[in-house]
Amino acid sequence: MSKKLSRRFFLGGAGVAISLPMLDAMIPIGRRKAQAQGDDPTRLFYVYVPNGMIRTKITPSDTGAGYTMPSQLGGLEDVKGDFNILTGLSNHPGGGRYTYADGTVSNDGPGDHARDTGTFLTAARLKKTAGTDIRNGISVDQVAANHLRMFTPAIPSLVLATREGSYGGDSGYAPIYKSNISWANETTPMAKEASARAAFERLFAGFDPGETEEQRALRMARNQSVLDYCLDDITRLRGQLGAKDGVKLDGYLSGIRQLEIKLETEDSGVICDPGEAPPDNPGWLNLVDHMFEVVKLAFQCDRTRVATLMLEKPGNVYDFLSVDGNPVNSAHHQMTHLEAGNADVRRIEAINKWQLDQFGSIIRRFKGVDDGDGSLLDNSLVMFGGGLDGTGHANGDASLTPQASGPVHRHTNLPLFLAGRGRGAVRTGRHIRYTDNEPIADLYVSMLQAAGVPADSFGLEGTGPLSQLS
Amino acid sequence: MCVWRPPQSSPVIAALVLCLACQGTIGDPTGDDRDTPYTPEQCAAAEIDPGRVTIHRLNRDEYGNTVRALLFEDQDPSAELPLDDESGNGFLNDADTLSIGVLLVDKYDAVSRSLAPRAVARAEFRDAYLACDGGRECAEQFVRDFGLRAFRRPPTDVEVTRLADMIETGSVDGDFDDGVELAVRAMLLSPSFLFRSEPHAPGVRDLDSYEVASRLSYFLWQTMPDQELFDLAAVDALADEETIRDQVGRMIEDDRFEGFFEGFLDRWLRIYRLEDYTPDEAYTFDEELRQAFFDETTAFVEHIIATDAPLSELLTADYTFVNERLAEHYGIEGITGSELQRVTLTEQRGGLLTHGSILSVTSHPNRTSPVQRGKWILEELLCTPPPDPPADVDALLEEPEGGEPLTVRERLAEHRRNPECAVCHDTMDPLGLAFEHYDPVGMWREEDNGHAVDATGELPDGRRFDGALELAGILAEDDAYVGCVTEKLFAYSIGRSLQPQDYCIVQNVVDRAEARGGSIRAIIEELVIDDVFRAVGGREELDR
Repeated sequence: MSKKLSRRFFLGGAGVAISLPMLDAMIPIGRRKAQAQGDDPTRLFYVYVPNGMIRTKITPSDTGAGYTMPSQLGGLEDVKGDFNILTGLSNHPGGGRYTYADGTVSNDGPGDHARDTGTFLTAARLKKTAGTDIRNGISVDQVAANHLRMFTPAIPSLVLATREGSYGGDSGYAPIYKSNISWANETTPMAKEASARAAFERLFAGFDPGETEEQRALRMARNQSVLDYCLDDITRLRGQLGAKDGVKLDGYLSGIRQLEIKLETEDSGVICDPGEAPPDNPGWLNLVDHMFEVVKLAFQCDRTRVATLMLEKPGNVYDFLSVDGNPVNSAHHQMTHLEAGNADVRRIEAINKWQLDQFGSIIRRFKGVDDGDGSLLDNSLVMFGGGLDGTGHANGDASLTPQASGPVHRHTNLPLFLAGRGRGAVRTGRHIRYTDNEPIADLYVSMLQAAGVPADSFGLEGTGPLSQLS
Repeated sequence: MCVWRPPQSSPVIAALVLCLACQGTIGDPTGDDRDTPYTPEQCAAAEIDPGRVTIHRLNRDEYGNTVRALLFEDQDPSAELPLDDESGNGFLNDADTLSIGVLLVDKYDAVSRSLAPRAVARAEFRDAYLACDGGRECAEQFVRDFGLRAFRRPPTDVEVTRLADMIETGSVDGDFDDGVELAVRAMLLSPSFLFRSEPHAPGVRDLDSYEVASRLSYFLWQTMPDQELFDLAAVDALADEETIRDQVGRMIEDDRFEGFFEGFLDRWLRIYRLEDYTPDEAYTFDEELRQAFFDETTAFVEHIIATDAPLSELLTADYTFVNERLAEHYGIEGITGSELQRVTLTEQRGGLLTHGSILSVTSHPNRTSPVQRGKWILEELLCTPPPDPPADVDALLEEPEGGEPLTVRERLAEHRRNPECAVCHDTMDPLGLAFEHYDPVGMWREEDNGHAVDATGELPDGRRFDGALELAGILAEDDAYVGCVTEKLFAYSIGRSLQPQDYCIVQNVVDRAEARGGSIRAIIEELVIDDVFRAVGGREELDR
């Protein structure tokens, strides 16, 4: 009986990891598809933070290149020339009430956290349901991945998070919405990877420099026979089942096909040394660092060109930070309702400051990588921010204090930062203020175009590239 | 979202119906009422079929448990897999919600590459499946023996030929084990292993004994069938109702029944949230207490099931299980040591609702939340989730600037002055306020913010109660309670959400279970002998 009682806390969490084949550290690996004609990779990285940010100290009062650095961005002074602050962009489909282009009105009431996360990269309208009949749209990273996979077929994109599992439901929205920013299509989120080591291994494992040609051929044949067996089994099953089952089998089939592509392409390319694999359970703060590093390495070695990272769930506790001499040990989301008034404001600002420091860490990391024709930062676009203004003040008006506004999260005037030059598509070092209800979806069109993905619209509202970026 | 309609009157829900109607949840103005449960009249008129479950991927826990049982593996390979998404009802085994894509298949591939050679080298594995050491006959025998367990049904002749071929061609330089390893890898990655599928037929089809064995074992154990279930399936004995009842009895007493607690109980009661509950420092809390909370609820429910107690006892029991740390927290004297001991309770506590576990996971870190506690009762015990607050309502419970600090009750009352809020909160809040004697970590208190606690309330039918014990007594007798627990068990047992006509099945199960004493075990038994568990149908709406 006592064994049974303690099941959760002894069995849960850190399971015993099984080491995967050939994953030893320091394998000199990484390979790059032979450079296709005109293939100059521009990478896209989307980093999401939940609950929005308090705007008052992240929004400069002046615009342009000479803007005065707001206090919350103090940690980014050394990289001021490498990013832009984008003020005033909105994601209207995330609102409680939404008017479609044809005038139809959808009034879905509460659930701003589900819509914050769910629509952040899709700019689509979520179907409000707690059931299984969910509907969203494809996310911008997956649009990019579907095109750029021709260059990195083995790993079209990375979908990462610093916290695994479900982040819970919200006011009648199924938990799946609040737990995923990256969506393969209207009904299927991309599973998120929350282990930097696992991601690293997926990116860089499987190459043995000592293997003979004969051994390699044998290994490939065996792998192929496993996949062939699975493909046949799908065909057999499909004949016995219905339409909804078919959707599940399609998901499975896409995975098997991807394994085939990985197998076919695993041997081409140049050597790139990713260094040592991150440890298994590095602790949360270190995990954040390792995640950034994994994305950097993946881009540097051209293993993939698109990545997303959910930097935490809404209810995370940032107790390594302290305010007024006390650890910030309330849950982030709980504090956004400002029940403790200014004390909560100060604690949230400490979290926001820390988040922006992480943005700086990404910028410095990318800037330090020589990408041949410039730095990795020169050849990337890194969007950092959230899908809520976090404080509920009026659209575009950053002068209101959060205390005066209350907890109604809005999907306008989003906290957004864009680093990198995207091979010249973006001029950095500026504060750009948008005043004409510009949708975040236009930014996504710009980012897709910068990466060479054909796109002239995106989501419900993106009708063309965003102004003022170049 | 389905709304449970109690067949007889439920005083608690009666008032909520008003609130739901006013919010448009009942009688959806769009005319789309496909999620509205059937009324008894509709049930009587309809031909009820069992419906279909979408092809069911093993979830993370099921996969880990299955692989360990199948391969005699002692490590947990599911640690390599991402966590599954939860469905709207909170469970992690909803077949429609369990998705699969590139990342997951990649992980399955990596894990099976690592597992297969280890398994083939393992003595228990060879004893179980590899009694011979080479040749075509041996290969075919291996596929039949191992395949039966891996696919949870006898492999077809085509599969046997195909996999035996693979063993032969995969035996590099005549090394038979190399071939076996390759076939094991292929089987572990194949959809026949990763998914539980129940082939469709026109109309309603009885599941075969192998399919019933799998349904039973994943429902009650979260793992594959054991030898006894396979043996019964081999002679089609699971077509027999009494045999199924006997198996339920055996399976509940087995250690693997732990899987039911992890998959069902922790999720239903939401006590999995204890894992990362962090109350403010003002409240007494430590890791020992966290574990004791969890242990208390587990031991208590185990006891309720083991003694076949009526469902009402879950809410009204005058006993619980505590160790020294928990006894100290509850103010119970004379308990020492870290082992749980049964104690008889008086006055301050009784039943599940006064467990520190549930009182904590329904609180905010800095204060109690009668709204959350009331909502928990409506959702988890009465299956009547309240509608969302209207858009743009200020959901704050702010401390007033200056002036006297208010109790949570007073702050809530202020909130209910808004008639838009009152229509629902008048019903919800009294349920939660009954628990105001328990602070955010479930410790008994006489005062809140310096004022004496008032835990009285009144139900819409005029009945008054004072405190959690009196409210629990009322809830335990409410018809909606047993229906709701049955609904939760139904959804979990077959891994799908309920459709309108499923409420007719729920009602039948409730009636039969009550005739047999109304225990949790009676509900489980009546569920698994019902057609919904033993057959699949061709209901149109399930394929919508």
